[in-house]
Amino acid sequence: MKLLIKNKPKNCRLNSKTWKVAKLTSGLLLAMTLQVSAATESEDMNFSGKLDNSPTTGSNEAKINSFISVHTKTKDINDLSLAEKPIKGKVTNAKGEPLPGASILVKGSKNAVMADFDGNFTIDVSDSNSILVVSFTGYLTKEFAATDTMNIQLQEENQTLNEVIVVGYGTQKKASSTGAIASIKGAVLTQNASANVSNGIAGRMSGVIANNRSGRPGDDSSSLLIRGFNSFGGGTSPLVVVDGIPDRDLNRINPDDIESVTVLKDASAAIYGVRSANGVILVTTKRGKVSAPTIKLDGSYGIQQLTRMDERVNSWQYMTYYNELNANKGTTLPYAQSDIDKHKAGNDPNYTSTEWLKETYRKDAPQSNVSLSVNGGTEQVKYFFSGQYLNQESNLRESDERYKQFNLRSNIDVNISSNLKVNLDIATRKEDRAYPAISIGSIMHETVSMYPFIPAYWKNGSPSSGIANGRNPILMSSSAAGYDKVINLIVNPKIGFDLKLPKITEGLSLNGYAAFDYNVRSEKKFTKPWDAYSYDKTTDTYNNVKNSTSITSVLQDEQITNQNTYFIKLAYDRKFDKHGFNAFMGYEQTTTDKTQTTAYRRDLLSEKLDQIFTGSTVGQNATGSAYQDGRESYLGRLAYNYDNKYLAEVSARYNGSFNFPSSSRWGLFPAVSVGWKVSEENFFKNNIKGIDQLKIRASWGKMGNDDLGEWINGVFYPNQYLFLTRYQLTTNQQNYTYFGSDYTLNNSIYLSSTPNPDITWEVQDSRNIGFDFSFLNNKLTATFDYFSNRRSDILTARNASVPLYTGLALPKENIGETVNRGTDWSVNFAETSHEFKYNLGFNLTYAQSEVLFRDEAANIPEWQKSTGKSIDSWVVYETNGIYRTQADVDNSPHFAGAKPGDIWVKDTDKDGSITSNDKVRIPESATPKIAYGIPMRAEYKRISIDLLWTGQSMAKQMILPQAQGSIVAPPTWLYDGRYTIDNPNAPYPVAFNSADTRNNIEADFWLRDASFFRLKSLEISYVLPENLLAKYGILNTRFYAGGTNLFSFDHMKKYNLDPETNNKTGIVYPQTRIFRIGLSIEL
Amino acid sequence: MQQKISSTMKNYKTNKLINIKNKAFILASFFMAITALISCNEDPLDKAPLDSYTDSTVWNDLKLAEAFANNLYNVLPTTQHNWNTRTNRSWALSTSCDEAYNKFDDYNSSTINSGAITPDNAGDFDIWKPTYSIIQNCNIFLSKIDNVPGDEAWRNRLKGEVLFLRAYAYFKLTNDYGGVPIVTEPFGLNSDFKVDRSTYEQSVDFITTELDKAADLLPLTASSLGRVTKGAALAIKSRILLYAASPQWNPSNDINKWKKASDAAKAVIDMNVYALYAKNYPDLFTTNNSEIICSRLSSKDPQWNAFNGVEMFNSPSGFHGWASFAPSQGLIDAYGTADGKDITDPTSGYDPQKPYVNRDPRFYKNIVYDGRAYGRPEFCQDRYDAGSSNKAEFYEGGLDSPQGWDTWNNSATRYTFRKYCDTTYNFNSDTQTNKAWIISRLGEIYLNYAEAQFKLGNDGTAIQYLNTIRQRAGITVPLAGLTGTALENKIRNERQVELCLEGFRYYDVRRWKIADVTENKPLMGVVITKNGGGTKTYTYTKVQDRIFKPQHYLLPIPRDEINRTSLVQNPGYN
Repeated sequence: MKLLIKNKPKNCRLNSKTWKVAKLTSGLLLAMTLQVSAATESEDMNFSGKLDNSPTTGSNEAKINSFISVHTKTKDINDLSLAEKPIKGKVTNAKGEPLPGASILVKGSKNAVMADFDGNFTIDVSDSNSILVVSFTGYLTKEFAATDTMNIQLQEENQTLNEVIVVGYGTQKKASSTGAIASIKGAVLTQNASANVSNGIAGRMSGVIANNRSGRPGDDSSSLLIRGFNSFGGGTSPLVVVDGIPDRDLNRINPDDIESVTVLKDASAAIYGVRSANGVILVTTKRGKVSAPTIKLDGSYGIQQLTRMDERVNSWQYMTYYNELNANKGTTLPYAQSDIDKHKAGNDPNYTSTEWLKETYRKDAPQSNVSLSVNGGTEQVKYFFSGQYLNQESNLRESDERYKQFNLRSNIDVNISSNLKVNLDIATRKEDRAYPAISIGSIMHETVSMYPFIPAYWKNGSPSSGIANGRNPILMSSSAAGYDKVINLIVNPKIGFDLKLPKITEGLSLNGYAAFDYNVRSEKKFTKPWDAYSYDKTTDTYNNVKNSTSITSVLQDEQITNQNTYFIKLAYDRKFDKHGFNAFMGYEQTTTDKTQTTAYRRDLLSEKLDQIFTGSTVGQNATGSAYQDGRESYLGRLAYNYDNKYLAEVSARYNGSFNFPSSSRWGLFPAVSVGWKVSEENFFKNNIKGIDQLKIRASWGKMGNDDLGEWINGVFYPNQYLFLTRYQLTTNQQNYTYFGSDYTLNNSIYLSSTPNPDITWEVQDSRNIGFDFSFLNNKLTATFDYFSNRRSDILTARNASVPLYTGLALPKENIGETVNRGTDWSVNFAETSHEFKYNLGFNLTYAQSEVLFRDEAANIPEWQKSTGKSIDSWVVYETNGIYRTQADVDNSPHFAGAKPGDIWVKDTDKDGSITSNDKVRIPESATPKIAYGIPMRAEYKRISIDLLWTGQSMAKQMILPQAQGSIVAPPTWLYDGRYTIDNPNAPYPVAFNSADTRNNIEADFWLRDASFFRLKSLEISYVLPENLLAKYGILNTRFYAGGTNLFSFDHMKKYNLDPETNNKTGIVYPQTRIFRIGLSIEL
Repeated sequence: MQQKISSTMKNYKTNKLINIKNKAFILASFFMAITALISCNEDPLDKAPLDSYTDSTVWNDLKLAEAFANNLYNVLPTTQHNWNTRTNRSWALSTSCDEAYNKFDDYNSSTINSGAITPDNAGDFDIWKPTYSIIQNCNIFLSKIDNVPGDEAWRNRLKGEVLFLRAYAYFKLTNDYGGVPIVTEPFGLNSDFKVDRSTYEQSVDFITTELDKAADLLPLTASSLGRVTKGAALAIKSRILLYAASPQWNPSNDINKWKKASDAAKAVIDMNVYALYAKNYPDLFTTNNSEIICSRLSSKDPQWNAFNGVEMFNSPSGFHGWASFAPSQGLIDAYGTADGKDITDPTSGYDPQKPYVNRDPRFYKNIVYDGRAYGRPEFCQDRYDAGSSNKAEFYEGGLDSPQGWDTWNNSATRYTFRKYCDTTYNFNSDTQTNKAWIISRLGEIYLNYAEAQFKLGNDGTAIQYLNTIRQRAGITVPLAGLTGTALENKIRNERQVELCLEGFRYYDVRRWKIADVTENKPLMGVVITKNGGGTKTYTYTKVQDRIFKPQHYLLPIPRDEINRTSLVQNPGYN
C-alpha cells in the first residue's frame, strides 16, 4: 500500500486538509475492501502538516508537531540544513536506575538506536528540532525535543496516579474519583482470541460476572452482569454506552478500536437515571493523537474447536436402553434381541452405529482476522481510522454457516480555534451471518434425539433420511436445505462540538453532540427440499424422500432502526487555590423508530432461482410491524475537592421514559459520593510508612430500571405501554382461525395484557464503601468495595398468587423487592527488574442476592417460599439417591408406580405421599455467587506472556439428560451408570425418557456443580528487534500465539459439557476453544 | 525565497485568525440553533403504540369486535397436531382411553394411562388455565358488545357466538373437573378474585341456560363455514344433558335428567337442518357435508411442512407416516360382523385367525389393517418399486412392520386410523389439505337420543335410531328384539364404533362408570406372522399396561391453582 500525499501549497486551507484526511479515509476504505494484506511500503510517505509554532517540549503531554516539513517550517534557514548531528543521552527510570535496551527513535524517520547497558545512547539527528521517541516496555512511551545532551526519565506504566478514567458524561482522574469504577485498557481485550468483545471482558474487572453460553459464530457473546443481578421481573442487563451513545452494541466493536472500557458499579452510574440500576458499561474508542501517522496492521488466524463434545450411546446400547425402558413400563419391547446382537457384533454393514454429534460437528473450524489502523494528527486535526475484517467459520461439518464482520471507523477532531473544537466520528459495520435454513435448536434436537442405528450415510454413500422427512442433522445444517442469511448494516455517525467560553468566565464551556444511529437488518431465508434416502434392507433399495423434506420458500425480512441521540451540556471546571470545582448540567434526548417488513412466498417455480418473485401467490404473506420509543433527561453533576484531599460529588438526573403513563413518567435519580485521601494528610505521611496511597470512598444513589422487556422461549417481548389496554393481532400460528368454504385465514385480535395504569420504574438504593490502597512504591495496588443494592418496585407479574381461573393476562406491576450485597476487590502487583518484568492481578466478585418480597401463591409450603433466598434459587425435589430394593420403595412414601431404580424423592412435608409440595427451594442458583479472574503477565526482553485465568463458584446448573424428547439417545455416562438388576448400585436411575414422571424431574439429583477454573486466554508474543526491519520502515513487529478457553478444571467434564452451559437438555451450539497465531506490525 | 514564504505566511495567518473567529462564531451559533430546534421538537415521550389497537377503537367497531371474537374460537378442538397444544386435545382424548395407543407419548397420555396422574403432573393434558383464559376474554367481550355501535343483526350474531364459546369452555371444564368456579364478569387487576366451585348441577344449569341464550341469537345456517349456529348450541346442550343424566352424575338415576337429555337431542333432530351423510363414509370426515352441525376449520396454508398434517401423523410407517395414534385391538374387536353381530357372539362366525373377514363395513372405512389398500398407487410408487403395493403390510417383515421402512415409526398395535385421513393426494409431497375437526354431527345426536330414549324405557325408538345409523354405515341386517343390558351394551358399542377418534370414548367410559374396567386392563395389539403357504398367524399381545384408579373419573385441579385459592380438590387427589 502506498500512502502518497503530495505537499500542498502553503496557504492550504483547512477544508483542503480535511479533504486530504477524507482522501486518506477513502484510501483506507479501498484498502480494506480489497482486504489488502500486511505488505506495506513506507518510504514514499510524505505528509504535509500545517505550520505549528507551539514549542516542542519534553513534558508529559505530547505537545509536539507530528511532521516537520522543511517547506512549511518558519525557522531560521540554518535549521533547514540537512546536516546530521549526534545527540548523546541516558535513559533512566524515576529512581535514576538505567534502562538498558530502551529504544530511541527519531520521530518521522527510520533512525533508531537502543540504550546500552548503562542506559546511554548516541543518535544522529538531521535537525535540532527533531523529536525523540523513547520507549521501554513497562514504561510510558514519551517524546522529547532533541538537545545535545539529554537525561531522559521514563515513568512506569502502572503509575496510576495520573491515570484518567472515563466516567458518565466526562472523565476524571482516577485518584480523585469517588465511585466504584473499574476500567481496563482496550489493549488487553485483544489478547482474547475471541473476536467478541464481551468475551474479552470476562475476568478482567472486579464486579463483572460474565458467562459464555455458546461459541456459535456471530452468536458467541458472553452475558454480562454487574455485581450479579437484583431483579426477577425487569431486565438485568447493564446499559452499554459507546462514546456517549446508549444502546450501541458492545460485542461487535473491533477490539483494536477500543481505548478503554469502564464499568460503573455503584451510584456513579446514577447519572444514567432510569436506566442505571443494572450498572453501566462505558466504551470509549480510540482517537487521534498528535504524532506522525502510526499505521498498525494486525492479522491473525485461528482454529475453533468445541470445548466439550457431548457423547451419546451407540446402536446396541440405545436399543438395550429403550427395551429396558419399555419392559419397565409394561409396553411391548421395540427392538428384537437378534437385531441388538447384530449391532453388537458389528460385522453386518446393515447394522451400524452413528455418533451423530461427531458426524454433525467437525473438529476444527478456521477463523481469521485482519485489522488496520492509522492514528495521528496535528494540533489542529487529529484522526483515527481503522478497518477490520473478521471471518469465522462454523464447526457444523457440512454447513456453510459462518460469520463475517467488516468494521470501519473514522474519529476526527478539529480545533477550529483555540476555543472551539469539533469532532466527527463515523463507525460503520457490516455483520454478515450465514446460517442454515433450519434453526440450530431444531438441528441440535435431531442430533441428540437421533437413533444411532440410523447411519449418517448409507453404504452406497447417499445420505440417510434420518428418523423421518430427511431430518438428518448433517443435511439440515447444510446448504442442501437452503440458507438463512442475515446482513446487519450499522452506521453510527456522531458529530460534536466543545466551545470554551473564557470570555464569560474561565473554565466555562458548552459542548454537545448528536448521533444518528442507523441499522438495517436484512434477512433472507430460503428453504428447499433436499435429497435424503431411506433404505430397505430386505430388498436393498434406496428411496429418495426429498418430496417430504421441505417445500421451497423465500422469506425476506427488513428491519430498519433509527436511533437519534442529542446531548448538550454547560460545564464548569476550575480550580481556586485549593478548591477544585467540576460541574455540568445538561439535557439529553433519545428516540428510536423501527419498522419491519416481512414477505414470504413458497412453492417457487424452481429451486434454482431463489427469488421471491418466483414463488406462488398461494400462501404468500406480506406483513410488517413498527416500534418507537423515547427518553428525555435533565442531568447535572457537581464535584468538589479540597486540595485533592477531600472529595465530594453530587449528581442528579431528572428522567422521563415513554414507557410509563404521563402522570408518572418523570423521576429524579440523585446520587452523592464522598472521598477522603487519607494518605495526603500530614499525620499519615509522617507516621505511616509502607502505604503510599490510601483513599476511603462512600457513595449512595437512587437508580432506576425501566426495562420491561423479557425473553420467553427465545422470543423477545418488549412489553411496552403496559399502562394501556392494547389489542394485538394474533401472530401465533397455533391460534389462527379460519372461516368460509375456502378456509380463509381470519384476522383476529387478542388482549395482550390487562392494563396497569400505575406502572412505573424499578428503584434501586445503591450503597457502596470502598478503599483504594497502594503499597511498595505503588507496585502493589488494591481496591476493595462493599456494596448493598436494595431494589424495590420490581416489575413482575402477579403470576403466582392470582388464581388461574381469573384468566387474566397479567401485566407487570411494581411489586417485588430484593437486596443484593457483596464485595468486589482487585489486587495488582507489578515489578520490574532490569529486563524482566511481571505483573500479577487478582479480582473477585462476591454477590449474594436475597428476595425480600416476591409474589407467591398463598398456599405454597414454607420451604418453597423465596423470601430470604437468592433470586434465581432452584426449586427441586430433594433426593436420597435411588431406590435400591423393593423394600426401599415400600418403606418410604413414593410416587405412584415407583420401582427400584427410580429416584428416591424425600417426603419433605411428611404427609406420606410425594407431591410437588415436597419440592424445596434451595440456596443455590445458576448464577455464580463468586466470580474471579487472575490476569498474569511476564516479560523478558522481547518475549512476553499473558495469561488470564477465570473462575466461578457457588453455582449449580440443572442437567436433565433425557428431557429433550421421548426417544432421545441417552448420554453415555447415563447409560453406563444406569440401574439394572445386574447393577443395583448404579449411580443413575433405571432407563427412562422425557415422559417419565418419576425420574425426569427437577431434583437436586440432577443439579451439577457449575464451578470452574479455566485458562480463559493465553498469549505469548515476541517483538522483533527494532533495527531489524527498520530499513523497511517497520518500527515494531510482533508475533503472537495463544488461545481462548484452553482448558478448564470443573465438575462438568464427566458429562462432556462445558461448565458455562446453561441449557438443561444440551441443544445449543457448544462453547468453543480457539487457538490463534498472529502478526502485528507498526509502521 | 524563504523570506517570501515567511511574509506570505504572516498574511495568511492573520487572515486565517479572522476567518477562524468567524467560523467559530458561525459554527457555535449553528450548534446552538440545532439544539434549540431539538428542544422544540415534539415531545419525545408521548409515543403511541404502533403495534396495537386501543380499548376505545376495538369497542367502537364491530369489525374489530368480530376480530376479537374470532380469536375465542380457539377454545374448540382442531385437527392440527401442533405438538401438544393444550386446548386442542382432539387426538389426545383417544389415546388417553382404551381406543388407541400414543406412540410418542404426546399430550402426556402415558401419565393418564399409567394411573400416575396427580395435581402436579397433568401437564399438557390439563386445560384449566388456557380455558379460563378464553373465558376471561369472552367475559370482556360480553361486557362490551352491547355498546358497540353498528348493525344489530351482526352484533347479535357475534354475541351469540361468544355466548356459545363461553358455554363450550365451561362444558369442557365440567367434563374434566366436575363443578367449577363460574365466572361471568371480566376480572381487572384490582378485582376480588374469590370465587368458589359451583356444584356440577349448577354448572350444567348455567351451561344449558347460556346455550339457550346463544341459540336464540345464532342463525340457523352459518354466514360463513366454521362459524357456530343455533344447531351447534342445541347439539352441545344435548351432549351435556346426556352426560348429566349418566350414572357418573346421576347415581340415583333421576328420570327427569334423561327426559331433559332426550328433549335436547330431539330438538336438534327436529330442526330438520341436518341429514345423515349418505355417500362414501370416509368422506364424511374430510368434507363439509349435510351431517355436520359444527366443526372447527384448519387450513393447509400456513403450514410449510407436513408435521401438522393429519395423514402424516396417522399413516403407517411404510407410507412414511408416523402411526402416532394407533387404534387398539379393543377398538378393532368392538366392530361387529357384516351382519351386525358382535364378534363375541358364537353365531357371528368370527375367526380370530381370519380377523379382517366379514366385518362391520365401518371397520374397513375407519381402520388401516394388514392387507388393506391405502392411498392411490401413484402416491406410493416406492412401495411398488420395492416389490410391494399400496396394501398395508403389518405382518412381521412387511413394509409397515418393525422390520420394514422407517421402522421406528411402525404402529405398535399394527393398525392405524383411516378416519380423518384424505387419501386422495400425496401427503408426502403436497403437505396437507384443508381439514375440519367435527365438534358435532347428526350421527352423534341420533346416538344421544337413542341412549336417552332407552333410559326412558322407549326401547323401540332407541333401536330405530341405532338402525338408522347402522344402515347408513352399510349394515343391512337391522337390530331387533334387544332389551335391557343387551340393548344398553349395543348402544354403547355403537357409540364406540361410530364415534371413534372423535373424542367421545374418553368421556363415555367415565360417565357410564365403566372406566375402572375398560381402562384397567392392558391395551392390546396384534403380531402377525406370515407362514409358508401364504397363511398368517395372529397373536394378540399386550402393547401397554394400563391402570385406572377411582379418582381418575375426574382430573385433578392443578396444584398450582389449589395453592393460590381455597378451591376444594377433587376426591382422591389430596
